[in-house]
Amino acid sequence: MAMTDKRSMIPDPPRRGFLEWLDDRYGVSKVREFMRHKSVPTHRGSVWYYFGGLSLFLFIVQILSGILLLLYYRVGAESSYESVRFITTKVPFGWLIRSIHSWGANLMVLAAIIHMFSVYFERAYRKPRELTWLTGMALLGLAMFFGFSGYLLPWNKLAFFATKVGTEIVGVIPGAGHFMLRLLRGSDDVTGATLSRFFGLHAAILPAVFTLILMIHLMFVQVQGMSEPLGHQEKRKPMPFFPNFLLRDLLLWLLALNLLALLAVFFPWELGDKADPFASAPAGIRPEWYFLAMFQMLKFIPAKVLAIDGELLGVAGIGLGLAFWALFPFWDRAASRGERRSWVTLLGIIIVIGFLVFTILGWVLA
Amino acid sequence: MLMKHDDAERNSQNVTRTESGNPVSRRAFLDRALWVGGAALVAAVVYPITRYLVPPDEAEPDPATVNIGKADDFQPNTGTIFKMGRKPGILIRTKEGEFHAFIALCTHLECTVQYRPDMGLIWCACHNGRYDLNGINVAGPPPRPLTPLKVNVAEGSVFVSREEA
Amino acid sequence: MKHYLSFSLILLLWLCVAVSAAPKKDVCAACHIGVDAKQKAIVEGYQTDIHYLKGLTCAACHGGDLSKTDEEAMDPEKGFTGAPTHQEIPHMCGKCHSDANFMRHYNPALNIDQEEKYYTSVHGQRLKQGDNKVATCISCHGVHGILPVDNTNSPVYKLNIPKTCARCHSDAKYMAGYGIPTNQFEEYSQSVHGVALLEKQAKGAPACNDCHGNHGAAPPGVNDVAAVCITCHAFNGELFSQSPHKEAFQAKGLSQCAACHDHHKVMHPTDAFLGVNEGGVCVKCHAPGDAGYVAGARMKMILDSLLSGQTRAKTALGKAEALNMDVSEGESAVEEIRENSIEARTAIHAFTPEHLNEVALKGFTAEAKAESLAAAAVFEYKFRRTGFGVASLVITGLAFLLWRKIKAIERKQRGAS
Repeated sequence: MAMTDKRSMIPDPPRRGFLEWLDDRYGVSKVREFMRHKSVPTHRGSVWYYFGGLSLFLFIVQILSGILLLLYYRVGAESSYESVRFITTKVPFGWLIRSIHSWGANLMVLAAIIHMFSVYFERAYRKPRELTWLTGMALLGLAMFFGFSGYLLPWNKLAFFATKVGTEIVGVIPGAGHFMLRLLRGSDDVTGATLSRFFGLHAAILPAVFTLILMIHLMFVQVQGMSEPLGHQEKRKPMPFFPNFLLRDLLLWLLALNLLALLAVFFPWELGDKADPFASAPAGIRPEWYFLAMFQMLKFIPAKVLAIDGELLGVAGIGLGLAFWALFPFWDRAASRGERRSWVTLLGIIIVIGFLVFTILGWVLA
Repeated sequence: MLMKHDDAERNSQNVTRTESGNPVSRRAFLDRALWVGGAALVAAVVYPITRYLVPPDEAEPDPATVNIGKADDFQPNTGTIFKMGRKPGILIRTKEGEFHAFIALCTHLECTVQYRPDMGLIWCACHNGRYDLNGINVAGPPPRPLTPLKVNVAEGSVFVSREEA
Repeated sequence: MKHYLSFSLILLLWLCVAVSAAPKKDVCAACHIGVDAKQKAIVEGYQTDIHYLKGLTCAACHGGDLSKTDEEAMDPEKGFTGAPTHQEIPHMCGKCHSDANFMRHYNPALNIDQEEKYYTSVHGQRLKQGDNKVATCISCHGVHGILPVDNTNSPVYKLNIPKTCARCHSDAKYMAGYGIPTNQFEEYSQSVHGVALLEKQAKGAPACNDCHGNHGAAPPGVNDVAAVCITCHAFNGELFSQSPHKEAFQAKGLSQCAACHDHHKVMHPTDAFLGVNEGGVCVKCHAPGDAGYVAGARMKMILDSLLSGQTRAKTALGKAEALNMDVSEGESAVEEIRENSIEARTAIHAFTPEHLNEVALKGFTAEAKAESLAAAAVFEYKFRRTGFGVASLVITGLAFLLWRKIKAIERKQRGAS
């Protein structure tokens, strides 16, 4: 019989709590030290720091409301519409969950876009944060894909035709275009197969990929801390993340929650009529607002430009533009040297205004 | 986390004495109010979610199958009207005890049909249309037979479901 | 010489074969097609005739010798009758159509009583008396181009019958002297049945022959009209025969249905039809204050309240729908009221207010259900807004408190530094 160590027979003193128990096993105190020292720079542009967290909050709202909707939604050309109708009319507070999910999607994309532009104008993408920008762009793209796939799921008339138009564009890519269109639609046309595929994307594939990239994006931010604006001279005392910034974050999230509730109650999301593949397209089909600018730009390009198919040119142009934007940290090397170039600001303003103008045009001309 | 800061605050309390009013009770009130507010928020969020999770009475939208009731409750040579989704249905029990079910909308002008035990037929009161017990239109204006439904008797209960196309 | 003989023999043989091989149909047609325009039309018309298609030649009706190729074929000794007189026509057709054994070869299911029935009709009776203006078989069925009844081009196809009868019966000049009206087709075209048949092509609607008979066409007796009506409107007829009106109408020699609803110009009765006010038929017989008058007024009131209930329910649901609330269940209830109002309008024919009340109960219940559903929808709408108000209060309250907490913390932090 081995001699028992008398020290181990002494029970832990009552003052040592659960955190200490964890610390003994997992070195939790290092994390707590890190959290204690985490801070946020204070300057004129500090308010923009909130938009990343806001996007995160809205994503969490989407996950929660999405999971709740999953409990009643039944995917299928003969059941999707009926189940959404059931949710909004028969399930207690179903109308609320559904409207929050639909409005939340839009607010999330809006928050992400504002977050992106604020990062742009503050040049926060500069070295060492190039990959944060890249993963952020991926997240925005995924969020828009979330929106596109989710839009079809109620299987109503507007969604059906909007999806038809939206997926049609993929087909203009030479060579792989038709293959990609079939891959996207699950068939040559928008059918129940598209519905299944979009549902799989929306409820399984995209959440997994998004979460993975989000974790990477957040990890980058934790490791590198918040970026400070260029030429930031006067050093005000940074704000501790815990509790100051976090409480302020929570405050904003509370207000966002209130806004979501207000939108859900006073501007409930419509369901409309069930999709009918044999009926003609109703007037006023348009994609969600974040696609409107692209949609409108494509509409403006003439059918043929110097023997090149107009749509193809448009898609190629937009593709190039997006690639340019995604790789922007590598064009603005001056920023990593601490220099604020005015062409970057100018370009940003033009793009923002252009985006706004084309979005409004797309809305009005639909 | 907040409690840790409370420690720090309590230490700083000893330093600042110039605050008007009783700083300890003001802070305690604010903290308590925050807890109450937080609890109210949690309640305001949890309440709709819990209500949502409990399935409503009509558990399915436009159910494909309806439980009409116990088979013994239906006498032979009777017909009973029931709801099938948003349409009326009719369940017939023949003299021999067999069950037949149809959508109870007359194929002429959609009046609700009824079972006539004296005629042993399904009859429409609007224009004297008649259908036999297989739903076939045999007399009067109806141009087509009644839409049939599938009947299953399981564990003593009668289940009516739509026919698969 | 030998050659001539054998040649002639061969020629004769060939002619005989040629003649016997030629279709017998061409014997008459071959000549008549070249006689004049009228004859040509007859020959060509006959190509589409059902009798021709069944293999019956001109001789089948007109008789004659088909072995001859010229006027010799028209041999009275061989049965040639030529064009029959007006009087002879029914028998000419009946020669075959009343012969069961003959008809069995062509259409065993076809009736063989047309000629017999015809002579019971007004047309047949008058024909016997020498009136050659009346209709015979060919007047309605056509001649030399007769199509089966189910062929849409036949003048006696269901949808064409009213126009066929109207050819004579709406011609005032032609009908002068008979002492009967000539506005039947006009009235019928305006009626529910006429519109259904002529405009909506509903084959279930009655044409002239459904009430008057086909070959035995005669105006139905006063009591017989009702018998016709209730073959479709069974429920109304059943209720009527149990009502106090049955005996009363019989005593007065009034037609059961037509007395109120007319016979040719059967219009869609409006709800004003019922009751003692403007447009009400009850006052045609009932004097103010008598039992029938009171009953009529009561029934009108019941029907009116049922219909106004439907309007009320629809309005209430419309309001709820405008608030974006779901009203589909309420709409089913309104549909119940609509069906019940049809049942109620039928139930009127019992001419007993108590019975009507019983029937209308279903509609009143449905109305109550619709209105309570509408109220529930409006309540839900208010509940949502109230709920939002409460939640908003909690959230903004908490946000305010949080703001104060933040300020308090920051004050402490500034003080401590």
